[in-house]
Amino acid sequence: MTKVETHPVVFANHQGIRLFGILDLPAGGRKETGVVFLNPGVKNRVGPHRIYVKLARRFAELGYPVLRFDAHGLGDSEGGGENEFLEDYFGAVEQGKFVGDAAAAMGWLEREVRIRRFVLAGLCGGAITGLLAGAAAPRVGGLLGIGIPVILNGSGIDPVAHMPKEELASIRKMYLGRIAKPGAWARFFTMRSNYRVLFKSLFIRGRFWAGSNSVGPRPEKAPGSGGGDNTNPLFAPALHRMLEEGKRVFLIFGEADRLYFEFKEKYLERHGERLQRFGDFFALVTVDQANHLFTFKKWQEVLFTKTLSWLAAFP
Amino acid sequence: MQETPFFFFNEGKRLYGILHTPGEAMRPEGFVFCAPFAEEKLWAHRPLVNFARLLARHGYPVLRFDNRGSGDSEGDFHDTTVRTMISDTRSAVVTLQEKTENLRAVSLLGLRLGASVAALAATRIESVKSLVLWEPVVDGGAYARSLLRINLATQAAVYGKILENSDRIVSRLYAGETANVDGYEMSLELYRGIAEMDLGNPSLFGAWKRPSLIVAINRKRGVKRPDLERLQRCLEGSVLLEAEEEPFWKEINQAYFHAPDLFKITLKWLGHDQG
Repeated sequence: MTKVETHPVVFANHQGIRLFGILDLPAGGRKETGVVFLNPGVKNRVGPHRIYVKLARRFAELGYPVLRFDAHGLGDSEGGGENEFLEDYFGAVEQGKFVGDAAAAMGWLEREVRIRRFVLAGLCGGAITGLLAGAAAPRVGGLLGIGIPVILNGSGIDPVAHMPKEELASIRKMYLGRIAKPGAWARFFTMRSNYRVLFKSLFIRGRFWAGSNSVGPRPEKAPGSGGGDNTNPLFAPALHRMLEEGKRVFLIFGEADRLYFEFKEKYLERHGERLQRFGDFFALVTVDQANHLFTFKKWQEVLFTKTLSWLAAFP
Repeated sequence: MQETPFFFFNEGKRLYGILHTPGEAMRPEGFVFCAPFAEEKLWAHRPLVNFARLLARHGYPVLRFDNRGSGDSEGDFHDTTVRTMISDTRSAVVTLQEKTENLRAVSLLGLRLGASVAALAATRIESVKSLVLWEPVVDGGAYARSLLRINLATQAAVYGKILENSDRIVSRLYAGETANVDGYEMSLELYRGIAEMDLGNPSLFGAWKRPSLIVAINRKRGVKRPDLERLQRCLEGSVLLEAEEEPFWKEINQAYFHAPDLFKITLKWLGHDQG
């Protein structure tokens, strides 16, 4: 196990906004590839329940330099604006709000630590930032995407209208499981149930919930354009570009993560065959029963093992 | 204004801190911020950063820091206890004094459990001049139970039922295991430390008497807060005010970077009428 030195660092993005981060630098036996963690949504560089800290320590002990930093307006960094709807903020991230900051972080590591090859890593919003930044940057060799969103969020986009069939099936199962419980009926008759979700889940088109996926691929259209869906139009092209350029992509989801249902329905059903061309360069792993944040320790341990094993392919 | 990140040591652990220093017109009073617990810390991070910057613009040096096992500090979360949080706070106060010239007094500002820790630490640190307590946790027992309910909610969401109830989780704590709260592994010592915390106990503060501000954070004004009234009665020299804000320490439908009413009330109490 390599000894690791941890340093607070500050660097500027292309607008001159100062970004704050933590660099874990292996003292000896350093690998050529550096790992950069990107903010998960609005949360800072430690990630939910410090998942980035836990991963960074493990990666650095294997010899990989690791930078966790806050994009502008988040964590300790400068910049940022007024309060806004979380969904709109997520939507902006999903459209590349922090791609420039990811490039600035790699530029700084290249100048100051002489790292020339990178793996971009992140959970949720950090994963999509990594994908969009990774597709655009030749120096990126891989993406570690944990619970990556394939949709676009926004306060003007109705999430219920675009719910994946598997999520609706899961909700339907939950409602049916409560059918004999007086408390559930009390909620129903006191207007505390989400009637839209309830009725939508009970009348799923295509009977996907029953195990027969009869709905074929649908074209991606911009949300709000009428009859389209909420798939992020940037997702598939960025993923395909990374893979076509010989970059490695590792996606890991909790099996019970709504975002995994969305990934299957809105990406895999439409583009799954294309992925077969890329062989080992694309890996998709699910962790039994785990949720989006890998809350329980047993799920985190699987996450750590799988990601460390994937990362070991990088020099 | 300057912002300088650094590490400092307490009891052999490297703690992460960031010092916000005003320009030339620096006041002789500074602030140490005590962050809330676990995931609440992440949701509340940005309002605390922005208030630190606001204080620095008003001339106050501010040190924000991470307790051991939290944020960017060394250690694992299961190493954290109420005792270590108080010790880390004391160390942060000393660090602020060492890093800032001509500092005569330090105030502690805390949010939620961080406010409770700040109140407990204040009685043990002579140089603490005043307290600012944003939505402090007064009834530790109720808070500890709410932490266990987070675990139950995760089970219900993932498994569709509760596989392990609160009693069983507590039994496992007593058997030497940890309890998972939003992904954080809480030890028995931490659980008991929180559960036994009662800021409404008059003997807790004894003769300690310094200017203190308690702020109730409510979505709408006019909500009765018996818990905070109880604390106010115990904390001699304190005032209880109300701020109209969203509960920004948990997931809400907004990306909450500023808490304007809370900031304004606090600055006004400090003697800055313009906020």
